[in-house]
Amino acid sequence: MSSNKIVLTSSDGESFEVEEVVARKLQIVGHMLEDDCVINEIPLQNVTGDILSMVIEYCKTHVDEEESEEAQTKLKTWDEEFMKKFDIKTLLQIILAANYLNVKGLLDLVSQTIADTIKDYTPEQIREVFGVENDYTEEEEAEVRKENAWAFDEADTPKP
Amino acid sequence: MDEQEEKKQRTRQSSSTLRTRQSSSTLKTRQSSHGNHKSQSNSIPFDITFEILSRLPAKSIVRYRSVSKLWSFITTTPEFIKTRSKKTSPPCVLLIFRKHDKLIVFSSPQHKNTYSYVEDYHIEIPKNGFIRRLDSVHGLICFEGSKQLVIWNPTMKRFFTLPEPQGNGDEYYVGGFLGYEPVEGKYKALCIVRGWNTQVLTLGVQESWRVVTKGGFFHWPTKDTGRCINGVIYYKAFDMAPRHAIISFDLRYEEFKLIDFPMRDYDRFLMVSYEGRLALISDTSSVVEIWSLEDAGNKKWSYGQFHLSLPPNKYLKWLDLRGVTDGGELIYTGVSLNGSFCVVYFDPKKSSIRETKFRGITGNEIWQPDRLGFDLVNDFYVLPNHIESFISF
Repeated sequence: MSSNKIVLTSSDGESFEVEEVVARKLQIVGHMLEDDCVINEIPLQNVTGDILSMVIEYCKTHVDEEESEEAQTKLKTWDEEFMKKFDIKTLLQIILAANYLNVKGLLDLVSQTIADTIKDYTPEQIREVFGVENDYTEEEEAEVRKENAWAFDEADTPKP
Repeated sequence: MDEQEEKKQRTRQSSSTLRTRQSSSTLKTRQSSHGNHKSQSNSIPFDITFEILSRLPAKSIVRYRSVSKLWSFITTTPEFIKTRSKKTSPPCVLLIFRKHDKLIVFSSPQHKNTYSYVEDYHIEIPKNGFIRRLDSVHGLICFEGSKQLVIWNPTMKRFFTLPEPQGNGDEYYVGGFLGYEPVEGKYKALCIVRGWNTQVLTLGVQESWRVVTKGGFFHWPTKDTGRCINGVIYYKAFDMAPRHAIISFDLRYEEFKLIDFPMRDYDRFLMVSYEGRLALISDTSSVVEIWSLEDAGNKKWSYGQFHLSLPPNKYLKWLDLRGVTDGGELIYTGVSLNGSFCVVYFDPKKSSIRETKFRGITGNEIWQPDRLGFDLVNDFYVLPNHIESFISF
């Protein structure tokens, strides 16, 4: 494998020098490299430096994914620990970055982590965190809530 | 400022807008919703929302229907249901106990080997509704009412009452079935009023019952059979003669067919989907016999049998055959020696057995045998191959 270095630059001008194999984990970079092999500096306009550094950390760890069960378990534990560092707002920024940079494994991991984090939120919290506009009228919302009243009942939470 | 610099500036602005928007108060969001539709360019894109939603528990999904119309819509799309069934919700077996007008529902993942997660809840049978047969049709269950059919969605814990069929006076009971047509992804209901009058209704399109014109003939459905397999509803009925027969109704072409009944025993059998085909199973003595419909067009049945090798000393009561999973395992229920209610899966091809114990059921009000050993449950149903569905009508 080539040890060629690639420089990735974030929207706020932070630069990261990484090995080509790591950079290729970002599929957006992979495609650019296929189109033109001589690039060694790539500007990534939709992601800030602090978020990009986390994506790179993930890619470095996952750069050679071994098949062995032991290696898989180790990676899984690393993933769990890695995800514990972030609050919901950071997780959402990471998922936007993973989506833009097209890092499949990270996208799956963050989607699941976000789902696990928000599963007990109220609809109001969801709107706030996800920036969703409530397009129901008050009457419509009351109706939807009434229809699905059981899902709001905390006493009804499934037993583990 | 060069172009690059300008872009950076813009991105920085938009990312700070994102932060502000995310921390904006509910009140503010609420206010803007009454004004014009503001662009959602800074919020989470549709496909990411879809991805996250598809990984949530059913209860959260139902609760978040009140977030916005879009969030509610996403979860009803066929793509969503398909994605979810691959990811998080393998088929379940539903155990339903009836006590008077109450149903106590347990669900357990069908493919898990060990003690399984069991969800239980109580629901009321809808007024005038009663149960002759229960089957989970692509996640929905149909009750027959005295005047109309009622559709139950267990995932959303909701009932939908279908309109009354045409030309049914006050005194006639409506026999009916629910089916799912996989090619167009539509649910259709079939009802038979007074033998001749057969009508069909497509759910969710606000149409009324239509009289079926193709291949209609007089028949009277018998009790407690009915299965929908690959877009065809099958049930047992008496024809004009009167003779026992199997009726098939193709949901796509809305056409009836009469199929000869293959067995001599007309009562003691289960109508199931076995290896993707209609099959009648009988388990008298320790031999299980299977008649499988090879070719519906030519009305050809094939016959097979095998010996049952369940360990009888392990269970308090002999196990009863209740159904078949889509994976071809026979489902038995019974009570094990330590008193816990159990579901036993038997794979006839591999001769393998696995067991799921339902701890919640023992000691519970519903599973207490009286002094003579009769249990207090009026009825008990096992519905295999149940999947989640977030559809509503």
